[in-house]
Amino acid sequence: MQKILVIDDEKNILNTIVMYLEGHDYNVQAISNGLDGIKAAKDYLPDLILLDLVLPDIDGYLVCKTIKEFSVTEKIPVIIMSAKCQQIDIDKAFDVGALDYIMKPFEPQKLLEKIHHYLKELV
Amino acid sequence: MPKSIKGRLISFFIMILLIFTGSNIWALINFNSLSVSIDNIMESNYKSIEAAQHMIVAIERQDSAELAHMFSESDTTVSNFIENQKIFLRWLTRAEDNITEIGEQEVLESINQNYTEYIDSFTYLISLNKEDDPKIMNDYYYQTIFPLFEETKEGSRKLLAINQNSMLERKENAHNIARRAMISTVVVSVLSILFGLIIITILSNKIVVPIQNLIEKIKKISEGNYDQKLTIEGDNEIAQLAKEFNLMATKLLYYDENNINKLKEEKNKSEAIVESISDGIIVTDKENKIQLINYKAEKIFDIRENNCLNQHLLEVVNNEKLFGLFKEVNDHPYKNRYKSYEDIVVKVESMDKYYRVHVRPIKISNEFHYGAVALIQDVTKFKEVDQMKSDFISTVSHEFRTPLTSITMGVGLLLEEIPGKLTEKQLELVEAIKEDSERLNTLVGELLDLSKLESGKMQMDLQNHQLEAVFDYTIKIFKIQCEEIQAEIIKDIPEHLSDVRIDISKMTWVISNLIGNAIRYLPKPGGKIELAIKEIYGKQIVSVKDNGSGMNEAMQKHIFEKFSQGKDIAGGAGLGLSICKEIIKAHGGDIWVDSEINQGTTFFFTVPIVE
Repeated sequence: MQKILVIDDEKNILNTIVMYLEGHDYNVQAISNGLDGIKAAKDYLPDLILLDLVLPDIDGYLVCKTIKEFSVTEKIPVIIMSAKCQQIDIDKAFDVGALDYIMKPFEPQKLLEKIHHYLKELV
Repeated sequence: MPKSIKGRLISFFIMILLIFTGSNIWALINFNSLSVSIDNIMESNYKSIEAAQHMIVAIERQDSAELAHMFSESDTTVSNFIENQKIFLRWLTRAEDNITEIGEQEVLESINQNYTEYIDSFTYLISLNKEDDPKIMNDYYYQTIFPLFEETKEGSRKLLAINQNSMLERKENAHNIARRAMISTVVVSVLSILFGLIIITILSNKIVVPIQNLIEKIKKISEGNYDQKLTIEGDNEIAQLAKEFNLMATKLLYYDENNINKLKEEKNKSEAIVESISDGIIVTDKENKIQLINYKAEKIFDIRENNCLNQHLLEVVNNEKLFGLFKEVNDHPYKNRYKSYEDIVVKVESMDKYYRVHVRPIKISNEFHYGAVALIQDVTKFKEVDQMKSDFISTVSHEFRTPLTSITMGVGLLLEEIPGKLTEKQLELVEAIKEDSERLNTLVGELLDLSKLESGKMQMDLQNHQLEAVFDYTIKIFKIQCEEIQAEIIKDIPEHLSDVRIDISKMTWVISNLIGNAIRYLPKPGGKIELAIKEIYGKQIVSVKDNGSGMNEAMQKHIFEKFSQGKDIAGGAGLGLSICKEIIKAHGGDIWVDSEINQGTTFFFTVPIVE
C-alpha cells in the first residue's frame, strides 16, 4: 500500500482527505503543523506529500523547501493544496520544489487523479 | 473759393477755360489785324504800282512812235501812238481812282497836265510837213515834246516810288503786328500754364495731403493702434471724412479697451479657477514645454510656476511616467485611448503619495492641436482603501475556500459512498449540497477576478487574433449543452475581417459567459442564439442575440452592476456580466444590452481593430 502524508491545519479538511484517500486504499498519515510535518516526512518516508501553505507554525513553502533539502526526502513528490490563487503564490511554490499546485476547493476526484498520476510516474 | 472739393474742381476748370479762351481771343485779334494790314497793302498800293508801270511803258512806246514818225515813211506810227495813248489814259484813270497816299493827288494832277500838253504838241507835230522843213520839226521835238515826255514819265516814276515806299512801310507794319501777336500769345500761354500749375499744386495739396494723412492713420488702425486723430479744418468732404474717421477711431479705441478689459477679466477669472482647483493641473504645448502649473501641482512636485514656464517637462518634473503620458498624447493627439490615465508615485516628505494622472490633448476648435493638459488627483487615500479592499477580498475568499474544501471533500466522500451506502433521499440532498457549494465556489472565484480587474491588477496578454476563432472555440464548448436542450447557435460573420487586439483567454471568457447566459434563458426546445460581427469606424461590434425571455428596462439598466440578476430565474452568479464589462473596458471597448420582454435579448460589445 502506498503511503501519503497530508499536512494541513484545518481539521475538517484533514479528516475528509484522510477518509477519502483511505477509502481509495492509501496508507495516509495526517499532520496539522509544519514542523511535525517535516519530522513525519523523514520518519515516515511517504510516497507522496500533500501540503497546505498556511500552517500555524512555519508556512508550507518552508516545509517544502526543507523536505527538498534532505537527501532522504528530496525525491518525494510534493503537491501543494491552497486557497491562495495568485500567480505569485503558485510561482513561489514551484520555486521551492513543489511538483504541482491544486487550488482549494477541489473535487476529490481531481485530487485522486493527480495522486494516481504522480505515483504511477514514480513506479 | 467754394469749400467743397467738387466746387473747387469745377471753379478750377472754369478758370483754366477762361484763361485759354482769353489767350485764344487775343491771338484771333492779332491775326485779324495782320490780315487787315495785308489787305491794305493789296488795296492801296499794288493797283497804283501796276498802273504807274503800265503808264511808263505806254508813254515810252508813244515816244518811240513819235520818233518813228519823224524819221520814217511808215503809216502805222500815228495809229500806234493813239493806241498807246488809250492804254496810258486807261491806267491813268485807274490810278486816279485809287488815291491812297499823301502827295499822290498832286503827282497825278501834274501827270495829267503834262500828258495833255504832250498830246497837243504831238498833234502839232503831225501838222508840220517833214519835207518842208526837217530842221523845224527836229527843233520842235527837242524843245517842246521831249521835256513834256520826260516830265510825264518822271511823274509816273514818282507815283511808282510813292506807292512802293508806302508798300514797304505797310509790310514793316504787318511784320510788327505779327511779331507782337507771337510774343503776346507766347506770354499769355506761359502765364496760363504757370497759373494752371500753381492751381493744380494748391488743389492737389488741399485734396491729396489729407487723403494721404487718412491712409496713414488707417494703416496704423489696421495695425491695432487705435489712438489716431485727424485734424482737418473746414467742412468739405475730406473734413467730413476726417470727422467720421475720428468718431470711428474713438469708438474702436473704446471697444478695444473694453474688450481688453473684458478679456483680462475673463483671463483672471479662468486663472483664478485653475489656481483654485484642488487637483493639480499642468499644461504643456506640443513640444512638452510647460505652459501652466496651478497651485496644487506646484505643491505636489515642489516647484514654482514662474521658474519653469517654457521649460521642458522632464527638466522640471523628474518623473518618466508622467512625461511618457504627455509624450504619448502629444505625439498622437487624435488617437482614441481607453485608458488615458496612469497612477504615479511621488515621494512627499519621505512618504509615498499616489496620484492618478489624466492627460488629454488640447484641441482648439477641435482641429488645431495645442498641447496637452494633465489633471493630477491625489489618490493616496483611494489607493489605501483599494489595498484594504483587495486584502479584504483576498482574505474573505481564502476564508470561504477553506470550509468549501472540506464541504467538497465531504460531499465527494458521501457521493462515492465511502463512509457507507446512502438512501435515495440522502443522495438527493448531497447532490443539492454539491451544486450549491460549486456555485459558492464560482462566486468566490468571480469576486476575486472582479476585484483584480477593477484594481487593474489583472494582467492583459494582448495579441492579434480573429474574433471568429474565439467564436468557433466557444461554440464547441456549448455544443453538447445545446444539443441537450435542442437549441442552435448561428454565426453571421462577414469575410476578411481585420484582426483585433485581444487577450484571447479573457475574450473567450466573455463570449462563453454571454452564450452561457443566453442558454440559461432560452425557450426549451426551439432556442436560437445568433452571433454576429460588424466592422465600422476602426472597431468591431460583436452581438450575441437570443430568442429568450428578455428583460425589462429596469433590469437592463442594472444588468452590468454587481450581484444583479433576474431574481425570478434560478442559477448564475451575479458577477459574470460585471466581469464581462471590466474585461471589455480593459480592451478599450464598450458593452451594452438591448432587450424586450418575450422578444429576446441582444448583448453588444466593441473591440478596437488592429490599425
